[in-house]
Amino acid sequence: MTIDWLVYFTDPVLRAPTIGCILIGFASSLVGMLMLLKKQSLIGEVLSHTAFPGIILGAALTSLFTVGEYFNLFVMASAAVGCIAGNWAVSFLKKRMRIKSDAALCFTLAVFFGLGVLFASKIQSTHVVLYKQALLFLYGQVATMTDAMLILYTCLAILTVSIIVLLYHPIQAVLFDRQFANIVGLKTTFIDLVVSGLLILAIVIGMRSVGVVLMAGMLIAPAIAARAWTNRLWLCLLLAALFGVFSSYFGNVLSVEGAKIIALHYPGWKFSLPTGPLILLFAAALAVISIFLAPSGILARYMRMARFRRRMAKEHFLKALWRKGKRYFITRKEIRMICEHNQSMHRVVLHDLIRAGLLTKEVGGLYSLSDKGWAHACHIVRLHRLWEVYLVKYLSQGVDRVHRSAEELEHVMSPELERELEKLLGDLDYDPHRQPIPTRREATW
Amino acid sequence: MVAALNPYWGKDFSQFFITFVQRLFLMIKGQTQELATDEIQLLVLLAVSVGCCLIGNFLVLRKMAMLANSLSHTILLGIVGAQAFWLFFLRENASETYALSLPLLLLASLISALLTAWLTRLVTKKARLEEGAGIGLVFTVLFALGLVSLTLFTRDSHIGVEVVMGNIDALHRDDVALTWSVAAFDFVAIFLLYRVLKITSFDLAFARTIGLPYQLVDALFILLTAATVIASFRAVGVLLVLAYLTGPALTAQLISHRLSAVLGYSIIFSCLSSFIAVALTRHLLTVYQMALSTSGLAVVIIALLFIVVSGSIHMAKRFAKKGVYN
Repeated sequence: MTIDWLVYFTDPVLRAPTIGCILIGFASSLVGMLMLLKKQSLIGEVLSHTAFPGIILGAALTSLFTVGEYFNLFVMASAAVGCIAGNWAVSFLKKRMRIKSDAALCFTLAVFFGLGVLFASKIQSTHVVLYKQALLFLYGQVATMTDAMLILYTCLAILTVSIIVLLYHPIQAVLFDRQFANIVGLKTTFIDLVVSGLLILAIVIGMRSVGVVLMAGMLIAPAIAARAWTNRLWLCLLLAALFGVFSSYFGNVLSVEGAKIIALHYPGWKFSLPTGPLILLFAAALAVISIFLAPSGILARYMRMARFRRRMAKEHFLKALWRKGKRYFITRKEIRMICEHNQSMHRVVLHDLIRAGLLTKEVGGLYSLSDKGWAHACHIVRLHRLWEVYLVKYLSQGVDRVHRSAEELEHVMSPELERELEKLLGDLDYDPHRQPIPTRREATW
Repeated sequence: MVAALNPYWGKDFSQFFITFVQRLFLMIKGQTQELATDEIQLLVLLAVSVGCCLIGNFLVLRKMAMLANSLSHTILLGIVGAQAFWLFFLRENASETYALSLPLLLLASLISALLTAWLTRLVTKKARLEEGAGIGLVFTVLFALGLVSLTLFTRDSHIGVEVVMGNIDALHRDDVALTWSVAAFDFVAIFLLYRVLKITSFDLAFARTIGLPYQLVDALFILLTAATVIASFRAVGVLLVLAYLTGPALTAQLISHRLSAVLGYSIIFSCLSSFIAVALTRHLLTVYQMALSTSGLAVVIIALLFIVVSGSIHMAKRFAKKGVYN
């Protein structure tokens, strides 16, 4: 089954939802990135709920005068009023009442939503049609987007980008170092207001298409995905916008194509895949992939840890062989005994050491250290014993306690640190346990 | 007609309480067994009040209110999961209407709530995300999954409205039993764990030092929270539960700093708002023929109580200050 990727931009039915979602995804992920860096990701979730009483009231008010085709705009404006009130309530509770952030957010959300439910119960019997239209804002419906609404979405996207570009440096200063921003005379409260304004605009305009809860997700997921890759603000914003656009597009494609596929296999099962949730799932998948695969991500961290563990096992093995003496031929059985705490590692260690030329395989299944291997082992022992000297001499550790610390420190030495240590301690022959320290010549290869 | 059977029909605010007390005496004397709709609503709301206050205070102290928010959203996934399970495994006859068994629903919701909490912890710890971002990512994704499977399995979007807003008029005698048993369960659990919860809420470092199983306590507490939210959502909806969880607790914390006193005050405030909400709904219906949502009204009253209490404390402080300087 082939998919015509371009048809989503040309087909008169598919065009408006696709482009609309892309524009909203673009704007919301940019604002979401700012909110993530402000450590206020959840305010989006709260504000999109506090819009609810505004929506209901706005819908009810439209019955008083004729708004005609401006119904959506009118409701959006009243939703914005709800958002602004919610934003004010949260900051009032946090700053004036000294209530913890999470409780303030949760309380505001629930109370405003309760107000909305109260209003809704009033108008659902008196204005049935208006109530149904208002509920569309709550759950979102992508398919009802029209070409006319694209103008609004384009304005939103352009406004968001231009404000971020114009105020890039002030926003950066406020986000990362508020005190500095205050000292250099930036109007931090003004910047806060602008960012909140952008957030509220993105929420009230985007809500109609993806729904309340998913709006919160669209603010967070692309931002998390972008944040995993880079520490630079402009790159973060760019990546977030990119992820937002991608997930919006593919969410749309998936909802149409998926419905086609299911209709093909299960004829008679009539339904459509909801676009909003699919967009969010796509963005979230990007976020999860980024969290795992990014250079500073989970996978990289685990690989670094695994590499270190492997190196440690190798170095312990070399040390154990060093203790046996220079021309010692070791059997497989003894090797297994040396690696008793980590059986799975011993094959890997053997393979690595032979490949690096530190260990040579002799006849009869025996192994011995090569000259290079011997030097390596001497080096590790030297580091270990130098550390012991240092710990005793400079950090006044008890002689009987330094072995364990040195056992860990010997693996994390850089050549520079090693040189400094040698310079500091001078030429030493014995460690605190009266064991000979291998000389520098022995330990070079 | 049902309306004729309801003794509260046509009563205003004060008459509601008179009728309530009269019926209470009748019930004690054993002359009447039937519960009127208003009484069922009141009983359920009172149970929700007690359960939510017991949990909510600790929720606020432990800064986990937004986690409760995410649990309350992802219940949808549990409900859909239960429905799918029902559809594919339990229902023999495909033409049958959906008649979900309550225990299955509760179990599925509980599982989804625990899954949410676990995933949130995993994401914030392993991916080193800020807690808010982790919470936001996990619950929106699970909610989206719930929505997609909702349209896949049930083709019925009505469930969404009911879950979000609650349907207090559709309450049944069984709901009274359910909410009160969960409230009792909360009470017993909090009673048994009181000291441990107190220590872990106020001073986690100390709790760890003296070797308390703080992670186990955390898990148990999340279980309690999930159970309370799930028991309450049929009456007040998943989002309005949050007001019951945080509102009275925040109000009580304005008055006192002793945990036991705060618990007591919050339960009083919460029960008071439930009483007023049920009576006021009846009053508005009788006098103005306005059918309002009882749960919405209850939440607004909780907020009003908070405003009144904080306002009067503010005024009292101001007058006290003036007294000193004059």
